[in-house]
Amino acid sequence: MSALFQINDLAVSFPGRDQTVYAVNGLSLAVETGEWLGVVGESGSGKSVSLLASLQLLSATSRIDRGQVWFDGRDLLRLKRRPLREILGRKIGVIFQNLANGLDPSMRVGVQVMEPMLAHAICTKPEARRRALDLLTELGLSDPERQFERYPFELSGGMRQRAMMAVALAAEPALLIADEPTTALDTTVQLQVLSVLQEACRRRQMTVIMVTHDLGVATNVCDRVVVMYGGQVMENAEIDTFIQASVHPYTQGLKGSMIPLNGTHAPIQAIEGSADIFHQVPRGCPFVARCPVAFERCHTERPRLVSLADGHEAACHRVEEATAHVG
Amino acid sequence: MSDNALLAIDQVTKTFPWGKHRIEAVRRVSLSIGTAETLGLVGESGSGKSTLGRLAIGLLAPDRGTVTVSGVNLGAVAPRTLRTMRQTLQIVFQDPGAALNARVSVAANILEPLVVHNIGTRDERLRRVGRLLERVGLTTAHGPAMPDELSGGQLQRVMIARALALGPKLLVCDEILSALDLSVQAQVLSLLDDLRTTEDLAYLFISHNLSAVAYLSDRIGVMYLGELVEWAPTAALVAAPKHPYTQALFQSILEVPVSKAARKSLTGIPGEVPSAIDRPSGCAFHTRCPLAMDICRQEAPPWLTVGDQHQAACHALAAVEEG
Ligand SMILES: Nc1ncnc2c1ncn2[C@@H]1O[C@H](COP(=O)(O)OP(=O)(O)O)[C@@H](O)[C@H]1O
Ligand SMILES: Nc1ncnc2c1ncn2[C@@H]1O[C@H](COP(=O)(O)OP(=O)(O)O)[C@@H](O)[C@H]1O
Ligand code: SF4
Ligand code: SF4
Ligand SMILES: [Mg+2]
Ligand SMILES: [Mg+2]
Repeated sequence: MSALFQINDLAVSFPGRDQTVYAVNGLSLAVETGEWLGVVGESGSGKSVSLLASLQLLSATSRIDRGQVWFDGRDLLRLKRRPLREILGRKIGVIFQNLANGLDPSMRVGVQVMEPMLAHAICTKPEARRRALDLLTELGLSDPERQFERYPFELSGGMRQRAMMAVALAAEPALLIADEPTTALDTTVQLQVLSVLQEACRRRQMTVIMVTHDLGVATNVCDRVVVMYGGQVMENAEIDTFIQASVHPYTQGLKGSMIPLNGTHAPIQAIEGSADIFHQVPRGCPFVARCPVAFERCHTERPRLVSLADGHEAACHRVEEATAHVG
Repeated sequence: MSDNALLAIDQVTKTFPWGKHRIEAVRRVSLSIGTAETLGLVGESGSGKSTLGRLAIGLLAPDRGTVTVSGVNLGAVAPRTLRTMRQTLQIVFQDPGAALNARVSVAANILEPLVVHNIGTRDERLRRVGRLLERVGLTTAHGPAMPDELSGGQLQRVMIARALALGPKLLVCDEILSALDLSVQAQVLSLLDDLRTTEDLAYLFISHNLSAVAYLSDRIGVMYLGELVEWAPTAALVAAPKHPYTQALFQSILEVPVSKAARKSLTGIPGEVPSAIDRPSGCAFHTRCPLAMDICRQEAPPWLTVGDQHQAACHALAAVEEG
């Protein structure tokens, strides 16, 4: 096991005047070198907050209550601004939606792609320009010379997404963290963007953490999937195990909520309700209020993430009791 | 178009001013919806779905062509009649937060159309609101809540309740699932499915989510750059889409594979929908179509019958038919 990036027991909250939101409640996950890890879960399950927090990119209204984030032998949560900046953009590329570190609307696209190379003194300016053009071409921007001089708002949604990827990949980072990189796109364009991203990352032997709420996307591009709810890991499985042998009631609920595309009209077994917001640290299982198979223990005792088989873990009392009987 | 159609759209074109030019958002579209029937509309963003939805309920007037509701041409009636007719034609949009009045309660929001149209006494209206809340899977306890206290899925239910307040015959749903989670999408879809039978409702269900459209609709129309390019009963379209664009839409959907080894390659059609300002000549899809031929760049393709109630507009299909 050689984890390139590892989050240990991370807890993040947003203290408010009246009440506090407990967004991440003891999250642990790791991604191995060369692996493509998917992070799935409904909106509000803590995917963005945990990854942003792990890179110290959350706003000042948040509080990191505990945890470590290991990368390159160092705990990112303990790093000062300057050493952290040397890692972000240089060794870890990020694509976050609706955030300051997306594209700058007031700067030309090409300059933004050159920026990480210049900021980290990777090459000279003319060289950076050449590399930026190559990168935009590689990522499939049509007419890259022209797009280079454009502002982000002049680009279509698909082209903007490619430009954001170019910025993230510009300094050849070892790890890419991409939060819903294709969510707002039409499926036709999503497919194109995923395809160039996959190619580009493979060519560079990059490690990728990709957040998505789309199980179709996760199962088609990732090697492993972590399912999150209530700011905790519910299940962690290799892709084949995830597809064929997932066990967690929340995972089953997500799968059951998928609308089939086969022209039949069987009732959809969707999870009831919508994602909880936690104003207290969940005492038992965070999914208990919506879980169809919850029992007493689930209310009072937090399920541990238990290893079921090689590379397969789940945090659920039912699963744990069932496997205990078998084993 | 059959005479007993609830809605009949005939050769409708709608343009918008665009600088010195005009863009054709909807171009010569014809379709009809029967009572309690669901017609789905799919196509990438910019294909004219929302414009067509607004035309269907008289929120927009066509430049050319006619929109007929229960035999009455919306373009030829007095404004007052149109106002009354519009009670039977309702629309729900993607963003319920923007469509609801944030300063009044959920109940007041649902009541509003009844007040505007001066229907019922105060007590009758309140009882109606209670029933509507229950119809959409909420409870009377949600009535006094303010919109910002509800989740996205709950707000979308409130919007549907509000649209149902006047007892419509046709509900246009424009991307109402887009902002919702998978689980909540499925819940809302099931609700629409129920309402169709209990309320005798017809839907024009607009979405770029092909799975959702296929789940709910009796028939589906596929749009590209303002034009209808194929329409068919749902089962026929899902089993065998004929138009190269429809085929590309289906191929672009990433379904969960049976295993990692069984993944399909991530290849689809290139490019994005061109701007309606520079509509390509001939078949508008020719700039992205894998089957494009010379004739496609020159001549608009003919409508062909390719199955039972199944039509598509494509030169390649004509070649198959002749050959
Ligand atoms: N700035 C904030 N202030 C208060 N609560 C927040 C803030 N940002 C996120 N949250 C809450 O944290 C939880 C996790 O959110 P998030 O990580 O964005 O979910 P996801 O990315 O999985 O959709 C949610 O309950 C959300 O409402
Ligand atoms: N009010 C408007 N003014 C100018 N152009 C518009 C207006 N509404 C829509 N359009 C244009 O018409 C075309 C079709 O848009 P729309 O009906 O919203 O498509 P869809 O809903 O399929 O995404 C697009 O090119 C869009 O930019
Ligand atoms: S621990 Fe209990 S509530 Fe949580 S998923 Fe398992 S059975 Fe359901
Ligand atoms: S008419 Fe030609 S370009 Fe258009 S869809 Fe058919 S084959 Fe393709
Ligand atoms: Mg998020
Ligand atoms: Mg639209």
